[in-house]
Amino acid sequence: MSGLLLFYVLPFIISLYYSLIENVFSKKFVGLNNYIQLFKNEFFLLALKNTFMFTITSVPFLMASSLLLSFLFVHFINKFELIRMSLIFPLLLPSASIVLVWQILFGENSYLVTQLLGIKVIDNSEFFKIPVILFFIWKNLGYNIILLTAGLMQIPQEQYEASDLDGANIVQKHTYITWPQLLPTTFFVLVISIVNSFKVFKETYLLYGQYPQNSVYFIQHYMNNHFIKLNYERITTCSIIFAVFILLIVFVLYKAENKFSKGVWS
Amino acid sequence: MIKESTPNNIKKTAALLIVFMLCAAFVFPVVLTLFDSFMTVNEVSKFYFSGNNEQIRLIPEPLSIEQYYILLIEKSDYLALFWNSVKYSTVITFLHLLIALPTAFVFAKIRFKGRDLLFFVILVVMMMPFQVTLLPNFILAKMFGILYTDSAIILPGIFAPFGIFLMRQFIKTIPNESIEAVLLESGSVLDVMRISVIPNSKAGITAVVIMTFAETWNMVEQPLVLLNDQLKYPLSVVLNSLYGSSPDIAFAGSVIYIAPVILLYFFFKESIYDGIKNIRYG
Repeated sequence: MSGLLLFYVLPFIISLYYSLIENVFSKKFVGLNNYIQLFKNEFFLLALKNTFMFTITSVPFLMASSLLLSFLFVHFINKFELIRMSLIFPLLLPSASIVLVWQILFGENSYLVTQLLGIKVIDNSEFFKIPVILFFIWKNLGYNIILLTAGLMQIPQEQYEASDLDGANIVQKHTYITWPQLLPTTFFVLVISIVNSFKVFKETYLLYGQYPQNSVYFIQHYMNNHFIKLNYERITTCSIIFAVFILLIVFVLYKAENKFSKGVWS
Repeated sequence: MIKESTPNNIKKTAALLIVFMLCAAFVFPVVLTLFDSFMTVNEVSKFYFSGNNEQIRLIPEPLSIEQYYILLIEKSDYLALFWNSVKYSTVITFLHLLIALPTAFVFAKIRFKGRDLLFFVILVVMMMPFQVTLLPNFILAKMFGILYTDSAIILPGIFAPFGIFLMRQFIKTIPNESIEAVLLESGSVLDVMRISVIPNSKAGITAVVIMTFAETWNMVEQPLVLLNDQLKYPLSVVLNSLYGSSPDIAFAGSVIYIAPVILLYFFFKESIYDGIKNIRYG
């Protein structure tokens, strides 16, 4: 525990101080100036926009497909045992090995991209996002399904049987039994998915390197470049904005989860 | 009767089909990599990385271990990088477990003031992506004078929050009586760990070990920031530049790199599955 405080919490508090001074040498207090400067920086704004856009496009996709497949698994597959083990597979496989196949499948010269889809990547820099989004979904889908199916299986079977006796149809069962009880799990999975969407730098780096196309330039790229220059004011400020943002998401979803769970249990 | 079951059967078949397609999509990259690692260097160059219309080719003709030969015998740098990965992953995993186990025990079974607040801190740190956690690691490494050394990577890994969190989920389910019985008999905390906690949380320990190993085996962000020497990098960071510089042996390089993780998967998949489930349902 003390190690965690020493390596993660304490230095974070120090970085809070760094973000408020001019630089480590002058130690002049400049208030929020670093934050204002950061939001004027065009590379930061680009990275922020890309990171944000990535999250709001890929997370809904991921959530929708995880939910759908989880329902499918639980309702239709008796032999769930047989296939559930393949769900962990993508989670464990190291990204660097999968990137190779991704380059072959979705690279600029691949048959799929040039012939089947007819995309000239050079004219279409937005295309670079697609492999990253697919990678993200591929990697996280199984994990989400495990959590969601576990949530679905916790719903007492008697409730469904009782509703059968009352003549409930599948929509009613979903609205009144499944959904309210799955909601807390769904919120949890949503938070995890959002947080994981910020980790996609790894795959982007492995696919496109330190200096990628504009469309896949994320916050971590921006920060890494400043780590190399030891530009403390920039990194600390960035880091703190991010921390506050994550805290906010976790807090909002935690509140929402509590609110909805109470609705079920009271 | 028949009328009712027919559409249900169609639905079931369709569902099964979708599920099997999904599984295929999950396994496909590994199968392709494994098969193509037995292509000759010439064949790889001919079909991939040629600059136009690269198509997937599954079956190598002729079968050959040329890629492995070049990779392991003619080029020695690959093995050195592989070794770096082994070193970081095993040291971090082992010491992380050693620290996480007692800490998790304390959080799960002992009441003390501020416990919930401290545990909340663990949860928050665990949620934070690298954009947030790397900077504290960096600052501390610099203060201790260990920046750009092995310790800069290993120490933050050891003190990461994940293991504490997951182990606590498992230890929470051990009945208090089991712990109290040992405590009454011998009075030593070490015996409590040895006789009660560890045997009762084997699944948890396995899950933490495998998931920490897989995570560190796959690390990219930390070495990029906390190391500056290419020779110290683990394979996870440099493998993609191997694909760039000598693509003809990339498949074999990838296979050897995945092998440890696949082995762990086949031996311990049940524990990993339980571990993931326990992230939410302790």
